[in-house]
Amino acid sequence: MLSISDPHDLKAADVYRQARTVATKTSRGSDSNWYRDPCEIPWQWHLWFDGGREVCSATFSHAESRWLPGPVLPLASLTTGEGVTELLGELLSPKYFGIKPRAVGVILHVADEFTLAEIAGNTDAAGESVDDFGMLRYNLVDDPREVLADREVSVDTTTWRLLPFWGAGSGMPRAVAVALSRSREAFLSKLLSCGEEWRIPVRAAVTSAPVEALASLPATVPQLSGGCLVALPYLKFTAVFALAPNGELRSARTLSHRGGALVSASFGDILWNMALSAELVGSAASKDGPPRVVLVSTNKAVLEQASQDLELFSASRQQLVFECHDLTEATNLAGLPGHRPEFLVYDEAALGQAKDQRLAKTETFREMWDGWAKQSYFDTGRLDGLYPTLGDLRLLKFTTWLVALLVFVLGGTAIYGTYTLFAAMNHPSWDLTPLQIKRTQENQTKLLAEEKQIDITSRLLLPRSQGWVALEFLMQLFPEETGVRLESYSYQMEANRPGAPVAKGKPAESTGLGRTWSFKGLARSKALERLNNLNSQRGLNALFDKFASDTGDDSYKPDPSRQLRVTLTQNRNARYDAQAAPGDIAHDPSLSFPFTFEATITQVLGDKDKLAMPTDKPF
Amino acid sequence: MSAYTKPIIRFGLIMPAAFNLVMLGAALAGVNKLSQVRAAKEARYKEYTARLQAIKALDEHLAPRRKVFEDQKHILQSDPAQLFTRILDTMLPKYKDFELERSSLVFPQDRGRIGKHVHADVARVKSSFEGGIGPMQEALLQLESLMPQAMLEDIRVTRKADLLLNKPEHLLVEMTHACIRAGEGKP
Repeated sequence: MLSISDPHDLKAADVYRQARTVATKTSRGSDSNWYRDPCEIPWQWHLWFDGGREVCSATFSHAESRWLPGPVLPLASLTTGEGVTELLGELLSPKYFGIKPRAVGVILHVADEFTLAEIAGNTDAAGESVDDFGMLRYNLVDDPREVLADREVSVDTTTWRLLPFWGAGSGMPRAVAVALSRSREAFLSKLLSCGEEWRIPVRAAVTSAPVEALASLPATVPQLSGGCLVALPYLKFTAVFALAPNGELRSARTLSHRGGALVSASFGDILWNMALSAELVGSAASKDGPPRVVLVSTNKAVLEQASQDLELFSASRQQLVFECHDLTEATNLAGLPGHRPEFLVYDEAALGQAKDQRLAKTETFREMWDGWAKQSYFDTGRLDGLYPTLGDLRLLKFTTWLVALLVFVLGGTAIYGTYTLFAAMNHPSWDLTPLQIKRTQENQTKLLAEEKQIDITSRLLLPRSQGWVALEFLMQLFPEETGVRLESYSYQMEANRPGAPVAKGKPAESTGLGRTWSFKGLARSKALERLNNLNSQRGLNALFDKFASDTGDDSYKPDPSRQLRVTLTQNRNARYDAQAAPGDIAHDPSLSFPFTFEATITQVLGDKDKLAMPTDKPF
Repeated sequence: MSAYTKPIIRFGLIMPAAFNLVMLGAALAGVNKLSQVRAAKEARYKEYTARLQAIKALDEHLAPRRKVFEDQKHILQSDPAQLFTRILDTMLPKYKDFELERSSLVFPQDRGRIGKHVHADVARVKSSFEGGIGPMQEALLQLESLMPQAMLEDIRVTRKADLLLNKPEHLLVEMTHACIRAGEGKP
């Protein structure tokens, strides 16, 4: 069995460990029934005990609103707790609920005692609103001695719960404390322990049967309207409640039965006095008549005995009007084991049928149905405090998931990292050494340098200016018998100044070239056409193009990037003598040429030209 | 808040979450560093392989040019003046005096019009001939075919008649060749 320690006595780490143990070894984290009130659990076991020989046992299926006789509980078991395991085992069978219940709410309706205790400063301190009653209720549970008028009470043997008087008049007590002994808690504690062991939520409550019976009045005595005393006789006492004319609860009193009597001695006197104190004598409700008493019980003999006493009192002392209601004849209690009206408070369907009754519309009964009648005298708060709350367990589950998620992310990251490392290590790049890179760089640099050397050398040796071509150009420009006599011919090539550096510290790689052809001579008329043709750009280009094709020398090939210009000057030959004899002409050929000419052709090759001169050294 | 709430938050949430977050941070930092190293290595490898391919392509491109380059080196390393002289000495005896005759052969020390703007070493050969244009052209074709490093810097052709030597009108050809050669060159 799970060993649970008080978390206040443990260190924080042990508290956390205990919370994890509870979360893993119990169903508290997944079954909210562990944290519900017994009356909220769909499967309920109701025990009613009035101090007699038998215990009334009933089961209630909340979903079906079905009441069935429950397992038989020996009277001894209620006191000693013996046979609890067997009882719970029997209860958890499908016999009582149609299915195997997943949780059980056990409610012990105590009808063998009904002790009322005065609240300190009741008329002044007691609240008038629901919130004030709620505060008083909390204080009474938390520290009864601070609330009760009698501070010499034993909290170890008795528990108190508040019963507000919503209809109390001026100067009347606003509330009273209902006391119950804690003698049955052993039985309930064993039930709870058994539930813990079986991992079945078992929730228990101890309630006051007279208060529940009072709360069920709108259903059991529908015609009741108020302005009366309601007497609820039990085996050992009679609980009397005074209802104001408006139906609100005004006061309560318990009358003990002495010597095995069915009703209290001086029953009439007590009721008369109570009616007086509750201002029910001569009230509007009683139509200025005698006080009205309503006797409600399941015991016909008790009702008869009480009726006789009240008849005798009316005849001899003061007149009382009374009416008896035998609950064994009530139709809405017919299906309840033992016809117990106390059980009706837990049957919402039955209460729903009575909600239109006059009493049901009073604050007293609305509040009673909302919870005041079902107050548990069994303080499970301390027991529940040993365990983590549902919120704690949900927080624990959330943290577990969150940490699991973080671990998953961490694991995923680690796997991804491992994969990345594995992939990186299996890639050829992983084995590449700086030495290999350096050698490759050196090799490439060497090859690039070699390529540059080869390129420069090849370009330096390109045929860009050859003597035989220069002479051939002269021959083709002025062939034999063209009427031209050349006096001189010159050709020269010059490297231009290199262009701007291509980059900082990097001079131009090539320099352009300029070439000049100069002709000076004599011409006859038939040569003028040729010279004029030379003097046009088109004629000059055609001449160069043809010459480049004939000789295979690309330096003569016209190109848009190559500038080609010609300057031609023609003059009359001063020495020309049209009458000159052949002998004179043979001696001086210039006598037979009427014209002189001078021609200069210039060609510029840019530094981007393929025949431009590399400026670098070859190697 | 129950007695369990704070311990659960402390031991169930804060401590494991903090531990996991620290570990996760370290793992992410490690993975990030590893990724950076991997990316750097792969980039270097990519560059390495690209360089290898470039080397291969360059080598394939240079292989057939190397033999030519060796010949070119040999040409450029020879002395242009000696070569020029030797070629002329070999060639000119084939011509009669009136066909082609060398008048002069000098080797100027200046860099000339071509050499002044290049860094390569340039040797200039200034020569003059007398004779006909045909033999001159033929001689130049042979000379320049054997000496591709020789570029014609200038040439001047004029008519000349030497009546004293009873030499009919012929041509005077004066030319200068600039020859590229391997060497120190211009700084």
